[in-house]
Amino acid sequence: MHTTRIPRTSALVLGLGLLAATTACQPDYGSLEVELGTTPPAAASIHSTDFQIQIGTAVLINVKPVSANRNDYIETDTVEMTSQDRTVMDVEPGPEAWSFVLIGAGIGETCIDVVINGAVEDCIDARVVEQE
Amino acid sequence: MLLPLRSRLRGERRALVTALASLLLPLACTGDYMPPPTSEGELGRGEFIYRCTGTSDALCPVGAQQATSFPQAVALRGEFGLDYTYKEEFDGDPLPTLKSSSSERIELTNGIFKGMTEGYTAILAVSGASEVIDIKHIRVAAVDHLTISQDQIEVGPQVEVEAGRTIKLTASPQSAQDQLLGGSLDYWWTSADTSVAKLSGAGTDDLVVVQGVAEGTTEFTVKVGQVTQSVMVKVTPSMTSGSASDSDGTTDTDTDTSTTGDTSTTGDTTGDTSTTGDTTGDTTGDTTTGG
Repeated sequence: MHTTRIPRTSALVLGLGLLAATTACQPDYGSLEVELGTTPPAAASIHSTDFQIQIGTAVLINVKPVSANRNDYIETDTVEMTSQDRTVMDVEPGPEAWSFVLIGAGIGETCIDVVINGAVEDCIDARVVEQE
Repeated sequence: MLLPLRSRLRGERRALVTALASLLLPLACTGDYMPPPTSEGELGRGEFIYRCTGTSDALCPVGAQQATSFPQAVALRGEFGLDYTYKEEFDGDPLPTLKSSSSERIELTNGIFKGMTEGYTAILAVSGASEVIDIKHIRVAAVDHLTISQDQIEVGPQVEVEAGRTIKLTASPQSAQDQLLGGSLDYWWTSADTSVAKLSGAGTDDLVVVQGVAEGTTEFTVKVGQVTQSVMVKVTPSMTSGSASDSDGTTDTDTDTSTTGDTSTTGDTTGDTSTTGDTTGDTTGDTTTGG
């Protein structure tokens, strides 16, 4: 029986090459663009790095993950946001893809995890304050 | 050739004017236009519809569940209902459930919302597991003062009623910004002197029927929580012999079943069917007819 043996070094180089090629086609999380979708009756401060809303209020945000490499995120990439403490700030999906509703449930601070394609990529500081 | 054309144009213009007039006339004549008690959701997918849940919501005409308008604010401790309806383009989507963003601020029990904390609270229209498809912020405000009106006109410090006749007074909860507050509340009407004028019914709604008993003046007070408002009721001598009716001339069938708020100690005429100027302090089962 005749078999072809690939040298171990060649296999390693081939594997690494394939890996590099695969990852090179994937976006690499850099940051999150956040846009306010509604105007709540009480002041809210929404930035890509921190959210602050008043208790009892809810705001719609539209987010867009920004890739750090040349490969942008596309619509089929899943973006989820989950609160580390829902008793402070709850986050529920909005009516559109990549839209979310932040809900001021209780006074305090927490962090909102940004989960992209199943992997936690970021954590955004979140604060709920008293109504003015 | 020119004349027939001008004539035809004049005819068309007349037809147009007639059509416009016939269109506008019914609108001009419907004096009791009631704006819908809806308010567009903040995400623009539909409308929130305000419902009165009790008989003492100032936003609903007597006996109606349909409010006349969406409230700018609801009263602290006031109860109300909300429904949601989609805009046409979203018709067919599964109806969302409504929930409060904070039960400590607006409580939701068996479909009835209750304002618990002053300020804004988001009501969320939730579809499926947790997808928020619309939002409406409701402002809860404390009752700052009450106004008393008769036939939808705010009364002065004194109202008059003829002995043996009745008038209807309505209390309306107002915010500090003079906004009419929605929400069903517990009212407590009392008469300082029931031998002069007494209230018919339980006196626990926003509307109270005041019956002139005997010539004199007494004070009627309405209380909601810690807020009170009074009006002097002057009972004038009976001008007609013997019948008890509303001051507007309508016949009033009074099925009074309660003594709440009534401090009457005069003769009880339970089950009495009064057809003459009844000045007794009845409280129960009294049917008053006349007119």
